[in-house]
Parts: sequence; C-alpha cells; structure tokens
Amino acid sequence: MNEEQLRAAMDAIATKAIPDGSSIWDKLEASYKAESKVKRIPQRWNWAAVFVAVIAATLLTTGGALAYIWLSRFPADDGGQNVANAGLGLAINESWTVNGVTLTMVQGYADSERVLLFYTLEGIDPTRFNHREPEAVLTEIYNFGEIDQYQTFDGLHYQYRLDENRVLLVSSFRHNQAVGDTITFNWQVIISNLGEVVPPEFHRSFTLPIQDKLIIPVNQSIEVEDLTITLESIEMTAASSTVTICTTLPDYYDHADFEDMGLLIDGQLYVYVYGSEQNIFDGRRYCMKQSFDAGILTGAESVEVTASGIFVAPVPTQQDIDDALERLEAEGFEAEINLVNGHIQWEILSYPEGYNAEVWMYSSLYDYRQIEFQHTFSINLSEIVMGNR
Amino acid sequence: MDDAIAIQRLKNGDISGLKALVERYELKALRSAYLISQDNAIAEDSVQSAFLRAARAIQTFDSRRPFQPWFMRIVVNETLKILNQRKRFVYAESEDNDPLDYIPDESQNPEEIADMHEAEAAVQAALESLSPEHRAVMVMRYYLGYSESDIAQELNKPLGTIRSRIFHAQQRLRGLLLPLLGRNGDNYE
Repeated sequence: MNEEQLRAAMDAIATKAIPDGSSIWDKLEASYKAESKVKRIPQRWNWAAVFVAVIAATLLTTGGALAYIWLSRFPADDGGQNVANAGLGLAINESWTVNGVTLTMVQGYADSERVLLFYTLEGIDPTRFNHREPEAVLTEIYNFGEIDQYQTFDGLHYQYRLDENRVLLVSSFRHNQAVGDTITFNWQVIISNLGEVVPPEFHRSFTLPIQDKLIIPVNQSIEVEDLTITLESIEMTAASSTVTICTTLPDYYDHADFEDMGLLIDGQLYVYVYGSEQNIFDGRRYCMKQSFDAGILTGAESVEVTASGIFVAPVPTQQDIDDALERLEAEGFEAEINLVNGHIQWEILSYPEGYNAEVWMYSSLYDYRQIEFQHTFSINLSEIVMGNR
Repeated sequence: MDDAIAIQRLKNGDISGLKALVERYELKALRSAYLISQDNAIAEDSVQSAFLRAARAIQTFDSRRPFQPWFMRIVVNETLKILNQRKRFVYAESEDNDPLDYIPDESQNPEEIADMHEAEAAVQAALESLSPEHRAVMVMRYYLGYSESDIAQELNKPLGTIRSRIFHAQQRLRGLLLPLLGRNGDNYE
C-alpha cells in the first residue's frame, strides 16, 4: 500500500459513511434564512433623521428621494452605513463620460483602515449590473504608487439600481498605510462584457483626507491558569474597528491558538468571526488581531469584545522522558534528554541515516495539554468624538 | 456557476450563491468531518455550522484566494470544536487498541496486503486510535492532500506544531504507515 492507496482507503471509509447524494441543504437553507431574518442594522434614528436630508443633497445631484432606498440597505457593513448616514466623506461630485457612459464620483471617504467610494454609472442598462446576474463586469484597480495594491471586482461592495438610467455603486477596500494626512491613489474602472459597446475605461487620481482614528488603550486582563490574556487595544473609526488580544507564553508552553472573536457596540453584536485575521507570533508573545467593518460615532456608550482560544502546553515528566528515550532507542537513536526546571533539554548523539532527526525527537518528546478560554471584555466609553477633517 | 460568482452573490445576500457552494463542497466537507469525528451526526452538524460561519464571514473573504482551503479549515475547526464540546470521542493511546493488532501478520510485508477491506479496516482502526486533533491533520494531509505548510497556514498554526502532530499520528500508525511511507525524510518538507 502506498500513500495513494492510503488516501483511497480513507475515501472508501468516508464514502461508505457519507454516500453520494447526501446533502444538508434543506436544513442549512432553513437555518440561513432564519439567521438572515434576525440580522440587524443599527437604527440610530435620533441622528440619522437629521442627516438624511444632508446626505441626499451631498451625494446625489438629482433624485433626492431615491437616496432613501439605498441608505437603508447596507448589508453586513455597518461601518459603511455610518459613513453614509453621518456624511463623513468628502463630497466630490465630478463626472466623466467615455463612450456614452457617464461615471459620477459622488463622495469619497478614507480613514486609516478603509476607503469607501460612492459613485454612479449612467448610459448602460442598469439591469446588466443587477448584482444577481453580473453580465457587465466592473473591474476597479487602485494604485497607491509606491505601495502596489490592486483591487479587482471584489472591491465593489454594493450595487443599487437608482432608476431607469443609473446604478449606484459603493466600493470598499482596506488599506492600512496612512500617507501623512491624506491618501492618494490612482483609480481605474473598466467595464467589460457589454457586447457591442466599446468597453469604457475611467482613470482618475484622488486625494482624500484621512479621518481620525480613536485608539482605546484597554489593557484589560484575565488569568487562565498560569497565563495572562490581555485585551490590549481597540482602534476604531466610523467605518472600522481593529481589536488586538495578546498573551505571553511561558517557555514550557508550545503554542497559542486564538479562535473566535466578536465585537459588540452598545450591546449590538456586529460581527462574530471565526478565525483570526492575523495570529501574530513574536517570540513568546502571541496576539490575535481582527478588523471589522463596523465602527462608532459620537454617542456610542460601550464596546464589548468576546474572544476564545486554546493554549497548548507540554507537560513533561521524568516518565515522559524515560518513555521517549525507549522509543528513540527502538528507532536507533542515541540521545541525552534532561528535565531542567520544567523544560526539556535534549541533544542528539547519533541517529540512523535517512531520519529527519529533529522531527523525530520533537514528535517523540511531547504530549499535549490544552487550556481553553472564552471571555467578554467590556469597555465603557465616556465620550467619543469622531473628528471629520 | 464558478466560485467567484457564487461568492459574490453570497456577499450580496443572495442565497443562490450559498447553494452553489454547498452543492460543490458539501460531500467533501461531510466526509472530511466524518473521518475526523467518526460520527455521522457530528459531521452533519459541523458542516452545517461551517457553512453558516462561512456565510457570516464571507464579506471579509478575499475572492482572490481559493475558497476550498479556507472553507475546509472552518470545517476542520468546527468539527474539533463540537467534539471537544460533546466529549464523545474516545481514543486510546494504549496497547488495548493498537492498530498493529489489525494487521494479520506483523511479519508480512504490508505491501503484500491485497485485500482492500483489510486495509480499510486497519486504517479505520488506526484513525479511531488517534485523538481528534491528530486525526484532523492526518485527514488534511492524506485525505485532502494538503502539504504540511498548507495545513499550518490554513489552521493558522506553526509549521512545527503541524509536523509534530503528523509525526505523532504516524508514530501511532507506524506499524501500518512506515512501510508505506518509508523511514527516510523524503515525505517531510
């Protein structure tokens, strides 16, 4: 039996247990629909009502009433909703026409975490931009000069049909490089697959002011056995939040696996993600850093962060060492292994040809004990003021 | 419908995107989850949970990346999480459940094993003897075909950790696997 036969054996075992035709779709569809019904968008009507009229005037030159249609729909992007509702972007209102297609850049917003662009297209059939059937392919390319960052179709977050002639598009991408007080980029839009129409292309350079960021130095800690886990900081803009949780592992720990993280603002769960965007390993310091498309505006009262993880520690004992030496001897290894202050120290004296010695030593020595944690950190905010330069 | 379009639809809240991804990946996911959990019900629960988690997190998914590795990572971790929560797994790091017992004759060269049923039984027993975490990396390595570095990247764990788990599992299976994979370092990256 070779490796392929081993894989075939595993496949045969799995296929007998889960035969062709097995499906979980019916149950999954019901669960997904049930979740979608309870999905919430924050309703800050006390200030949103004030700004709706301002937004309509800022964002659109015509059809102010139509602005209400898309303002109320920001699926899974509460931060974008904040920007639109509070009018935090820079009004641009410039148009270009290429091959009969007119692009109007309405508003641009940038902070240290995200860039949001609001623009309309006119002159092509908006039904061809129906996001359910993207016959027309929109490609956006951003070039930050020395920092090469290209964003393709995925930069486009939302498409809304405003009327018979126009479609509104909201483009969002993340960019963590602040260039002084502004961010400058070359923006290129290519519309393709339009059949007989010559694909129009738009090129433009933009410079946007970078909005303020609020850095909340939290430094709240919990003890999990002999570990200290610290919520170090939360960085928040109107459109984004970045949370960092860290721990420093003692030498006799093997590694840390941070897992889930959730962000709640004023008791409202915005996003709960599985897996960390970044797991940072810096010597013995392990951190989970996660960014969310949700932020805060003036008046937010509290922020909560829920997090979970697993830490793995070898628990070496003298018996472990004796057992390891016996296994290694059976494989033809000669080694010295000592337990010094809870740490295993080993030296390979000889081993058979063809062995990956270090790996065999490592796999022979360690058993694992797992420690799990799950905690909610709460931060009361006295007064948050999001600046708007 | 290819993955990019399905993902974009799902990002736009269109359930047809989710359905397309389910149709493409559910069997592989269910079978992987079964191999790790050794339980049909847990496999169904973990894969359903994985799809829902993926749908929730889809806005942050970079479509320039392949979908399957990202999704299978969620499946593996969901399965392990459910197993840990339910504590239904039973694995024996003892001689009472030694996979070597299932090889008809230890002196027989395993390469001469022609009966697939015996091989399947041996592999099945060997999987049952492993902890879920070790089973998971074995499934990712040999059933899903990921490299050790791919597994480390997808599970967001140090490469050394993945290697140690694979080799710990191989040590448990060595009566079956060493003759199959060889004692040299060729299979280690």
